[in-house]
Amino acid sequence: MDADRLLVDRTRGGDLRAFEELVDRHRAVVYRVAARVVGREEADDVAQDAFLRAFHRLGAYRGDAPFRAWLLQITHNAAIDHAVRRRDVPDSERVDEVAAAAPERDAKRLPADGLEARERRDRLEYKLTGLRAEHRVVLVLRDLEGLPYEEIAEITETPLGTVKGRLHRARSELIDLLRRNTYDWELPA
Amino acid sequence: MSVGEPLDPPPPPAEARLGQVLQILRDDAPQPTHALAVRVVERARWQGALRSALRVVSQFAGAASGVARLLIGRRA
Repeated sequence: MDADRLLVDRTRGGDLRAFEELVDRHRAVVYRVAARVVGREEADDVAQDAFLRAFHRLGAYRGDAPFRAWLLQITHNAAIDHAVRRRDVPDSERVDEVAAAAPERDAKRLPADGLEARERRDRLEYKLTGLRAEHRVVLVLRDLEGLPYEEIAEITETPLGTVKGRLHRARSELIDLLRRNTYDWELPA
Repeated sequence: MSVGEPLDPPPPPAEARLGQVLQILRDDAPQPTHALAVRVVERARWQGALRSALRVVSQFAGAASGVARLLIGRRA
């Protein structure tokens, strides 16, 4: 039996130290995924929500899939719920808004290399928010987290073909968004 | 890309460049603080206690209602 499964069993038995260990083992990936989907400012809330949902649903975890995939499925749902609650405007309608937007940080020209690198990162993260949530999630899980397609299909509860289709569209949309940016990302035609 | 997974066909140039651009985000991933774990466990503790208390109250209410039905039944 793997370490996660043992910790799940101990948590079900009322051992909160085991749950703390589970949180500690997976907090980095849960937080990263949450931050990429809803933004760094709200990642803490979504990660906390995801872990608490998982805690209350541990009884439903059957163990036929790895614990990480099960937990990321909950994180994915918590992040999507949060994104939907947060804004009235659907993500798909924000694509043009984000492409055209000149956020304050876009206007800044910071001389130091470190600050410039941070500015590039901020711009890129902002562009990522212009993708539809369901496309953004797939791109984050595949291109940033490097997860296999099968695990992404499990996490998003969609067929493999849908995952690949969404990933293709997410990449195309992001390329399009970056091309319409004032910053030159050197993307070939 | 995970080990053992069939290789994807080579991406078009723009997608290949996008992969390089995204390296910026991979290199600078957001990191949680340990405080997150502490907060989660604290909330799990009191939520768990609250659920247990509610379960006891609900069982008590169920039992009280059973007794009341029994008494009313005897009177009638």
